[in-house]
Amino acid sequence: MSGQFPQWRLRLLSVFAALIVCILLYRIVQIQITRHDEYLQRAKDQWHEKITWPARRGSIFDRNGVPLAVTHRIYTLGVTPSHFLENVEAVNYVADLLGHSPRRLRTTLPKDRVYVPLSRDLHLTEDQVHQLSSLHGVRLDSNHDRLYPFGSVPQRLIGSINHSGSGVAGVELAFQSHLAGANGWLLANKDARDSTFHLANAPGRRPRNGGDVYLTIDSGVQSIVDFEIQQAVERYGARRGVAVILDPFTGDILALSERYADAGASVSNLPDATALYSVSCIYEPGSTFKLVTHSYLLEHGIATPYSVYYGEKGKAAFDFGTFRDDHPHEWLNFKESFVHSSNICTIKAVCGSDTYDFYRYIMHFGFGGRTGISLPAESGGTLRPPKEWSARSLPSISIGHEIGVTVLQMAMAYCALANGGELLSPRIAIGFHDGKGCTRTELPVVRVRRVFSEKTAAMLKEFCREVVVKGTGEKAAVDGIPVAGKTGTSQKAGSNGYEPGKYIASFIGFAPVAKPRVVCLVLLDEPTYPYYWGGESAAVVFSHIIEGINLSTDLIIGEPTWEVAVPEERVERVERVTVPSLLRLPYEDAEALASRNGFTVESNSTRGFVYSQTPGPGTLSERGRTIRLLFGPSRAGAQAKVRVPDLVGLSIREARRMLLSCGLKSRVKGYGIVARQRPRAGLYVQSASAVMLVCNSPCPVVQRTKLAHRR
Amino acid sequence: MGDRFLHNLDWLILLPVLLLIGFGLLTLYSIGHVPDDLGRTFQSGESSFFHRQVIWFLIGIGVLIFATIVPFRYYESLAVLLYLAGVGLLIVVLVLEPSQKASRWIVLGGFRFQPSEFMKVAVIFLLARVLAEKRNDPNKLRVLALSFLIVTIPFLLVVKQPDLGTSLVFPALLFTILYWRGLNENILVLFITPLISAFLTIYSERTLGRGTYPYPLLIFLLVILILAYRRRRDIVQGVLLVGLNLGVMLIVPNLWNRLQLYQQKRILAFLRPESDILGTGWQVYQSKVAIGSGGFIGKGYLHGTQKLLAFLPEKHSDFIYSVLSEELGYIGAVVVLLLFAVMIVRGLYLAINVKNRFASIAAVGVCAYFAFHVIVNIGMTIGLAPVTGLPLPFLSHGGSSMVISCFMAGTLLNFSARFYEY
Repeated sequence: MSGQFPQWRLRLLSVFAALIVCILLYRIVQIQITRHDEYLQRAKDQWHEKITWPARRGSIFDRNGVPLAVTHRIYTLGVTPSHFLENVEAVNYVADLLGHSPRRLRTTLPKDRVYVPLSRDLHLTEDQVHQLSSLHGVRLDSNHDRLYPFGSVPQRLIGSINHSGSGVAGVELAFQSHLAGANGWLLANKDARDSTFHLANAPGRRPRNGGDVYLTIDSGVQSIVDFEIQQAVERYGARRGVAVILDPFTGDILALSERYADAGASVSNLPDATALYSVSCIYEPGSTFKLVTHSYLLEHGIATPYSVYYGEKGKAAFDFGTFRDDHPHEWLNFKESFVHSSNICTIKAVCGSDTYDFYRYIMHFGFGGRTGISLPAESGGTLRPPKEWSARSLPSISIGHEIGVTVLQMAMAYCALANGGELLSPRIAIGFHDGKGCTRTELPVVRVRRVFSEKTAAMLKEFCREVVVKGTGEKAAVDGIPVAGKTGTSQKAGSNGYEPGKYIASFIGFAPVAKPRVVCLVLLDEPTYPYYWGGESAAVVFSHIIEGINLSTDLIIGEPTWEVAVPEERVERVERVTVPSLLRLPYEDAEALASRNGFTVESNSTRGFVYSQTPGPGTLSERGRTIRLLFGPSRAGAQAKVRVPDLVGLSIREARRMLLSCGLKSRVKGYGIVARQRPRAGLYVQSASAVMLVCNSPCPVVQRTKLAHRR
Repeated sequence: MGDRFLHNLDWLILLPVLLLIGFGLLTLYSIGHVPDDLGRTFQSGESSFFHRQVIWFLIGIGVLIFATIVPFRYYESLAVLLYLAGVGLLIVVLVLEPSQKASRWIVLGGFRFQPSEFMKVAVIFLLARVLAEKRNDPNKLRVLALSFLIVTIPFLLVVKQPDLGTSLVFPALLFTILYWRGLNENILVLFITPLISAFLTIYSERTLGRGTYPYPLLIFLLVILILAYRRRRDIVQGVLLVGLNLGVMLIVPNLWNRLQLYQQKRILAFLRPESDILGTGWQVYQSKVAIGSGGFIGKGYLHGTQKLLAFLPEKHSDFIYSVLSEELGYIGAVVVLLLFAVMIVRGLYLAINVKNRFASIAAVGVCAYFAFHVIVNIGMTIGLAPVTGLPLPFLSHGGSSMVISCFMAGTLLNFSARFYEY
């Protein structure tokens, strides 16, 4: 009704306002309805956070459960100064924990920064963690740290991990997939200041912890070897000393030690600063390689132990070049050429062999290829194919030149010798336990192939024994244990042929001889002048190591003392004779055979047949010794009647032994457990007549399941 | 007077006001509420806003009733006094606390009071009183200058605080009231077009940098030329219009380039918050995320997520509309907007119907006050207007805003109850 003012102005104003309101409404529709999904997603994104829940890396143990690498939880402590400094109590607590004065903390913290890390790699107790995480403005981040408590085992064998926790070298890399486990995650809420709030029932997945690895290393043996090698490197002025101890029957690496004269050399001379010398580096083996040559000659019948060669007094000029020996020799038989390590005799023996045949034989030993140990960066060595060989190559290779081998390959060849001719694959880990400790996986012992017969092995073992007894390796002898081995000396090859004065001295041996428990390879790189022969330095280290192992572990069980390794001249000259088998003979025949071999007999009876003798057949014994005989319970000698024993249920072996003791023979039908016998038990039969044994397979379970199947 | 008074009282103004206050209290309660699964680790400490607002609500109702009952003639006669008191308070604020970053409050017995809010009422009353006199034609230079003086003093004092957002209310009130009083639109155009020119020039400066032509500026230039052509009879006005705008267009880039980079950035962030996502833009972005994630029906009362964990800044005061829209969805947002619309439309209707000239002008001023606050505040939450710190009347937490809004609503009710008085 207000006549004073024109109403159209107000209408125009209203239209204007309505227009603005329409724009607002349109915008709200756009945000709330058209783009609702997008904004909802953004809201969720900024307020949910997926936190990684790290898995604990598995531990590495030695074969007896001594920890070699374990994972430990450490903390990084940081603060937000603006919040943190308000709380006097918090400042005091943190200052006390870190060993600072509260005043210093208060004055030095930059107050404009959102986050200031105070300390990394903190080791905290549960209590401290609880206390710290309840303080305002303090942030605690947990992390996993890898500790290597047993310092002796070379870091290069165990390897290391990088900042993200995955292995970069050694065992840590080789078993990465097993050690790592799988990280879990957790959904949490976070606010705009990026602090995180854990929800009560937040969705997430627990991490799967990594599994543990049990190595074949025996840390007891390892410390002995480490000590000796360290001593040797210092004593002989070598740049580097390496020793490997293996179990010849399983290929387990019991100890692996690598010591360097100076830390700089260790890095510069390797293809990779993290590589193991014994696995990744090659050297010329020298005389130790004659094991391969001599076994080849024996196996193929090219030489016998009695073949004799002329040693040319230390220097021989062949049409393919001149070769020398360190000591002049004249006539040596095949065995002596090995024992005294005469290059000339070995070359003479191997000359004229088929190069391809010899090459194949070397390949058989695993040279020129990887041993298959589960460690990274393994080298296969250098072995050129015969078509690249010169006339000089065959003789050179036969004495261990012109070929590159790794320490491990060489050690495995001697393992084959020690265990009777089986080449094995070296093993670094016995097995794994999974992260929960429920499942245990064992790694199998891998037999690669038979490289020579047991007969050859026995002969070569004797050769090796002789090396220690009276050959180049006399200094390897150990009191109380018969050991055997072979020395090796080789020159180091540089870019212009062999470098003068730079040698590699090595010794590979095993102990005890009869049933070897350990194979030990010792290698010294560039020892000083009088020690660069393997027999002068490496053999001594070998002796110390074996002695140490024998004294402080029960790895090598003491053998009968009649084979004490002492220098030969001190042993009384007693003739030893093999005891003949007197079993199953009547008294007269037994006595006659024994006296023919220079033994006397002593027995509980003179009737029946011999079923037991001491010492046993095949053993070495002094001439003139008395053999004790036990006779079976027969009443009337050869003509008497014998009661047939009850044999049902016994194994064939037991049944035969029982029949033998009664003076009866056996005939077997089938195999397994004796099911029936003819004649039956209790009857008296003619002595020395045969009893028929009908056997069944000892696996009735199989039949039962078959029946069940049929039903 | 009782029956007639209540009969004439405009319930369509009172009802929306009460409903809006109700919405505000509900939202503030929700902000203080922490869901159970977060309760253990998360301490909000924001429930006190609700309790304080309840107290302010009770005070506000008292003020509303008081403002309704007191005859509006007193306002007219007291206008000069109120104005002088307001200016005095603004000066006191500046003098008392010069050290603080922004001195906007006076602390009185535990309560903080914002004189700039009080000043808005005083300016409306004084302008209404001056322009209500028939001889004071706003097209006269003397009157125009007086009106400008009345507004410029508090404007400058508030800018000095500094509170640019609040200070912009005063020109908005001035132009609306002058227009309603009958200011020639030609003069209005003279004042308003240079502002638009300046804005478009800055905007074009940016687009030129990107290698495109400043089309909006060219179109606006064309519009101005058309306007000038239509005023070809009054040569002075036409030349003035074109000259002012061209002058602005030429001078502004020059001034703009003389500014330091951080100053340029600050102005750009004021005009377009999203260009500065880590500063002012952060609030707008979060506000949009909150509103957008609400959807049509919202996340449900007390079930909003963005209000928690410090994502949404100033959620209890400037950005309360975002929280409300998140929880109550599009429906809630529109209802609130409609309630304001109803109140303002009734206010304008009143401005036409009321017989007293002072009341009519004051009613338009009050409506302009509400409209400006609502549009700027809501525009801010949805990224259409600069972030100024203007509260949403009746909803935002804050005593001064609540009391002054209630007082203004009370004056509207007062006018409606006495619309017949000359």
